[in-house]
Formats: sequence, C-alpha cells, structure tokens
Amino acid sequence: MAGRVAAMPLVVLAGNPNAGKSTIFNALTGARQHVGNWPGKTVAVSSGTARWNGTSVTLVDLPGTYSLSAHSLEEAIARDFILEEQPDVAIIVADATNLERNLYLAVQILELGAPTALALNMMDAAEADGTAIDIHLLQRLLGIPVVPTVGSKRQGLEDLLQQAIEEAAPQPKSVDYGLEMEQAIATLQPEVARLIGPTAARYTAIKLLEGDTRVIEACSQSPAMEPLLVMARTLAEQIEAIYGDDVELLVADRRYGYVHGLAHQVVTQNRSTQHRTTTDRIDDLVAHRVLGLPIFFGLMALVFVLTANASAPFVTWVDITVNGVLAGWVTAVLTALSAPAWLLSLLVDGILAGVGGVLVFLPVLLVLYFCLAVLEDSGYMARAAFVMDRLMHLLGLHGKSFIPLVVGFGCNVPGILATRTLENRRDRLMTGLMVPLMSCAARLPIYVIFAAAFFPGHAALVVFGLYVLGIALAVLSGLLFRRTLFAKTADSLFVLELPPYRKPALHGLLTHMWRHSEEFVRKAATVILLASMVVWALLNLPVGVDDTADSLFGQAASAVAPVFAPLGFGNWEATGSLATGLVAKEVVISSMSVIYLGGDEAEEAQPVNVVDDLRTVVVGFGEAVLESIKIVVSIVPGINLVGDQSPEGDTGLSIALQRNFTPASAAAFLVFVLIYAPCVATVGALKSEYGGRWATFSIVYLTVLAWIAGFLTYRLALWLA
Amino acid sequence: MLRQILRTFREAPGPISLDLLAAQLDVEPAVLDGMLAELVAMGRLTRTEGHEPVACSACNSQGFCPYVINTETVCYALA
Repeated sequence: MAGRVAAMPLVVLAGNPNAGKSTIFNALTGARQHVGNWPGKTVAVSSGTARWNGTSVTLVDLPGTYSLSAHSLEEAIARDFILEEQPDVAIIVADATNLERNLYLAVQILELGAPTALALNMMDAAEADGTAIDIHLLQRLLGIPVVPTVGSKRQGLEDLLQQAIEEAAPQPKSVDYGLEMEQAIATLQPEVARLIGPTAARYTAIKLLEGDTRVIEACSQSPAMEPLLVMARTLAEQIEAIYGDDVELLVADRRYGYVHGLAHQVVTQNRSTQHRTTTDRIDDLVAHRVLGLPIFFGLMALVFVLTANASAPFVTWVDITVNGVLAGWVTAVLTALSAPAWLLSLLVDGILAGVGGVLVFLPVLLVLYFCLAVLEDSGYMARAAFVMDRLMHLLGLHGKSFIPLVVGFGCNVPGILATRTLENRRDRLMTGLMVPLMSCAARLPIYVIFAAAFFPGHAALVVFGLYVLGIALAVLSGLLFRRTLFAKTADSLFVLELPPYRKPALHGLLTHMWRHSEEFVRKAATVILLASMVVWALLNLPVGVDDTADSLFGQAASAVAPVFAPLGFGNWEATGSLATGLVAKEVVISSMSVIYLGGDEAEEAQPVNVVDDLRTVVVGFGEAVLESIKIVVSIVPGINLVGDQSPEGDTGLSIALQRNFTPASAAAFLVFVLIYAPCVATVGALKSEYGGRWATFSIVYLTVLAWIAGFLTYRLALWLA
Repeated sequence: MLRQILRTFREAPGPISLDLLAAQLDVEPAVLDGMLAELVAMGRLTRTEGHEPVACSACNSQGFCPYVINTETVCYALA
C-alpha cells in the first residue's frame, strides 16, 4: 500500500467492479502510479499521483466491491482503509447505467463519515440507453458533490477532482433505519464516541448492533469496551424480538429501501417501458408457464427425429465399411498369412463385430450432440431446465433436482455427482436414486437399433418415447420415495439467473460435438474392446464347443433366461447381452453383435478387390451425405424428398435382431434396458455418494421395476397386436 | 426489500426467473442480483451454478466431462 505523503491530499477511489474506477484512476494518474499488494494480503492495490491546480494529490484505487459488509477480503480492505487512513476525500465511482445497484455501496461509504463525492461515470452510455439522471436533485438528496464523467474519454475528470477536493464534506447520516433501530443507534453512538472516538461513531454503532465480527473483535481487545458490547447485544436482541429478524438483515433491508427510493426520485427512464430485448420476447414463449413444457418436449422430439433419421444413412455406411469392407480385408489378410482359426475368429467375430457393432452408432451420437450443442450454446438449455423444474414442482419434487437429472441425460455418473449441489442429504439421495432413470447416451445405440429394426417409420418417436418414459418413471419414483422412504418437507422457491440467447458459432458447435463424441470412441477402444474379447472367449469356451448355446456364456445365460420368458425375450442371447450391459450399456450392442454376427461370415474368406471396396466406401459416404440432407429437408412440413421410404439405418445386427425378437418382445426389451440396474460406474458413484446400502437398493429397485414395466409392455403390445 | 425477497422465497408456489422476480419487486435485474449476492453473503440464501465441476473417477476426461450437459443456470435457494 502506498504510504501517505505529508501535506499531499489523499483521495481514494471506491466503487463497484466494472464501474470504470480504474479507467478514471489511470486517466488521472497517467504514468505516475505503481501497483503493489495490501500489507499481508494478496489483493492488489494501485496508487499514484494526480496533478490538480498546480499541486499533487495522492490517489489510491480501492478494490472494486458491491458492499462494505466485510464478508469478503476486498470489502474489508476497502472499509478498513477509509476508516483507518481517513482520506481527505473518498470519490465513489458509480456506473450511471446501473445507478441503483451502485448507490448501495455509495450510501455505505457515506455512513463511514469521510468527505465524499460521487462520480456518475459512463454518462454517455446512460444517455444513449435513454437514462436521465437529475444530478442536482441527487446532489441535494445525498448532500455531496455529484459530477457526471466519462472516464474512457477523460470527460469531467478535472471537474470531479476540483469539486471533490474543494466541496466534499462529511455526510454522516443518510439512511433512516426506523424508530427502534434509530433509538438503539442513538443510545450506542455517544458511548462509541466516548470510548472509541467521534469518527464514524454512528457507523460503528450500527456495526455493533449488526454483530459485525470484525468490529466486535477489535472492540473486545480492550476490557473497557465490555459494557459497550453488552449494551449493543441487549439492544440488538430487543430489535430482533420486535422484527423477528436479525439486525444485519434489517439494516441492509432499510438501506436497499432507501437506495431504491433515491433511484426512483432521480432516475428517469426515457426509453419506452415497452423496450424489450429479443431474449425477453423469446422467453415470453419458451419459458411460458403453460407453453414452456410442450415447447420443451416438442424441441426434444425434433432432436430425436433429427438424430434417428439424419444419422440413419451414415449408420448403414459405417456398418458396410467396418463390418463389411474392413472385416473382409482382415479375413483375407489373415487367411493369406495362414493365421490360426481362433485368431481370425477373435479379430473378426469378437473385436470387429463387437467394437464395430458399437462404432456404427457414432453418427447417431454426433448428430445428437450437435443438436444438444445448438440448444446449449443458444442458451435454451437453461430455459429447458427452468420449465422442467416447473414440472418437478408441480409434482411436489424439489426444484433444484432438475440439474442432476438434466446432467444425467449425458451420463448418469456426473448426474449423481451433481446431486452434491443440493443442500440436504435427503434431497441428494432422492435425486440420486432418480438419476439412473434418465436415459444416458450409452443407451441410445440400443434404442436406435431396436427402434429402426422393429418400428420403421416411427423409430424417432419410439426413441423419444423412451426418454419421456424415463422422465415419467423418475418423477413417479420420486413421489413414491417421498411418500415411503423420505418424509416430505416444504419446498422452497428458487430464483434462476438465465443467460441471454446467443447465435451459436459453427466452430463451437463442431468442437462441442466432437469433444462429447470422442469419449464414446475412446470407450469403444477400451471398455468395449475388452468386453467384446471376454464375451468372445466365453462363447468359445470350453475349447472345441460347437454350439455357442453350449458355451460357458450360453450356459450361464440360459440358467437365468427363464426369468425373462414372461417379457418375451427368455433366450440366452438377450439375457447374456443384458448381463454384459452392467459393464457399460453400449456393451449390450457389442455383445449382441458378437453373439448374432460372430461366426456368420468369418469361416470363408471372400475374394477382396481393394479398388472396388474403396469405391464402395467413398461412393457410399457421398450417398449417405445426400440421403441425410434429403431426410433433414423432408422434416420441414410440406417437403418430401425421400418418398415413402423411411430412414432405417439397416445394419447386419438389425437384420439378425428381426430374426430373434418380435415387435412386442423388442418393445419390452427396450423398456427393460431403459430401467434395469445401472452400469458399474454408476453403481460406484451411488456407493461413493450415498453408501453401499443405497447402491444395492438402487440395483434391486430398478431391476424389479424394469421387470414389471417390461412385463406390462409385452402384455400390452401383445394385446394391441 | 431483502425481507420481501426472503418472504417470496418462502411463500411462492414455484420457481421463478431472476428477471421475473425483479419485475415483481419493481427493481432492475442487476439490482436484484446485488440483493441476492448480499443475502448469500449473509448466509440466508445459497447460490449454485448449473454446471458445477464434478470430479469423476469413472473416466479420464480430467476436468472436462464430455457427457455433462451445461444448463448454464445460476440458482438461488433458501439456505
């Protein structure tokens, strides 16, 4: 901190962050300044010398704060400096475009009793915004010089310095805190003046009533102060008994009321009261109490229509490339090298079928994450959370639970970890138990392939329906938990700060999309690769087994399969795949690919024509792009570029599934996949956050619920058929 | 005005956006923002961001979770 130079006036600049304080400081001091730290603090301080009327003035730039409540280090430094250094003048730099907020700090500085002047900075922006400020009235009401300035253009700065030094005078009383409080202050103030000194006596009396820990600590160092502290405590208790609230709140409340009245008197908004931003107008619709929810579900339906349909041609293309062309090349190379049959089988039936079976769905995720990136970057996701929250409250659930639930759509693990933002354990636990019902991205490939295989033409709606079913079941589960496991407590309102709408930048969207999707690719190269190899090994053990049904995998799955017979998929293939989904949900698809596709084509090496294959890949990609564009354009009502053909994204696996499931059993399977026990990572998160007992409860509850829902779905589908 | 805000938090039936609450209280949103910050500093309200960083051991994304959907909301509730 700069030392005070004798005989040189000391002027401090105080104000809110971004009020232009530093701009004025720089303009007044020029190069005559230096930056250091406050003694013993990490907060930087700038001090310098300004020239005024032929003499030098020491100028200190205090840290920007919104208040002097001393809740933060910056606030404490600003307050202590004015109280201890007793500057000749404190210049409050206020942002004229946001006067009311800035006046709150100004009023507190006035209470410190220092000679004060007010700089109404950024006056040009305020005028451009249609804000007129009655400077003379404000000057009269505050009793201090008020000078309009534009710091960035150096306008009004000379005048500011002159009025501040020549005309500023202490203005110890501004806010009237009400009868009881004023009586208490009047009782304390003479004692404070006698024991501590007359400077800022009123302010210190108020702080003692508030129970300000710093002021009380300072007073407690002298035994002579004890009666003063007892008196302050007694008076504060009397006031709190009258108002039913603590003095700190009552003081701040009165101060805000005073500032609000002041701003109303001096500020005139010349712009039309109907002046509304684009964000306001869009919010009228999308955050509407009634329309908000249908708009949210409509947008989500559109996202899934785009995801399922626009990606379909690319799904087919990746399938042909990986499971057709690439598998053919690997087979041909290994056959030419006379590789052992087991190695060929492992690579083609195990790894390529498993990993390739999942990678086929990369286009689905790319489109999904692109759409979600548009919603996120535009600022809509905040509104989605807002309207979702209305639904939560409507059903008696805690409003803040929406955050972990929305996060859970990406992945359940961060969704569960996000419950830490909830205040009490009951809310954290209840929300954490609901999160696994949010359809994470890993379940999407399963939805897409079954929906395309069994419900062509309605695949997008089926996928969307599963997401909605997950939300509905989470809500119902929440209600059930609240009525049984957790006692109901009163919900409290909360306020949401919504960001303005923005036009998403393409580069940002693509970065977003890829960063989300690359984790999926990484997972395919690690967890899914390993799982595919394990499933392949279990399907081929004991050594020499002919029929995979007799393998270790087949036998173990067959033992459990009857449990699923009432759901329509009581076969070992489906049961075994579901079991592997506990590792990660995508593994259901890789396991099905290994089970259903492995061994189909690997035995006989087909002749390979690299040029033809490359042509197939390149031409296929071009066709997929064209087809995808046609599909996207055809979503617009009245335009149909694809005829009656519905985008299906046929793959080898979808054809295999059609041979092993019926539409009814496929529907039951999808519902079961949506609900049943979470993957190990999610169980691990549940265990670490809530303990092993609740993790076990989640596994059992979700699996039982999945079985019941799957059974009802199967029966309903049969009945409808 | 702070007491009015706390009363609204206790009594209102559902969530509300900062802009709407500001309109109800007849103050600018920036002023209400300051009041909410003051109530948070007093320990009467809590402030949470929609996109809290999560330390997740389930993957190796090291700070950036590729699956997190950012709601970008700032949420105030009674402490």
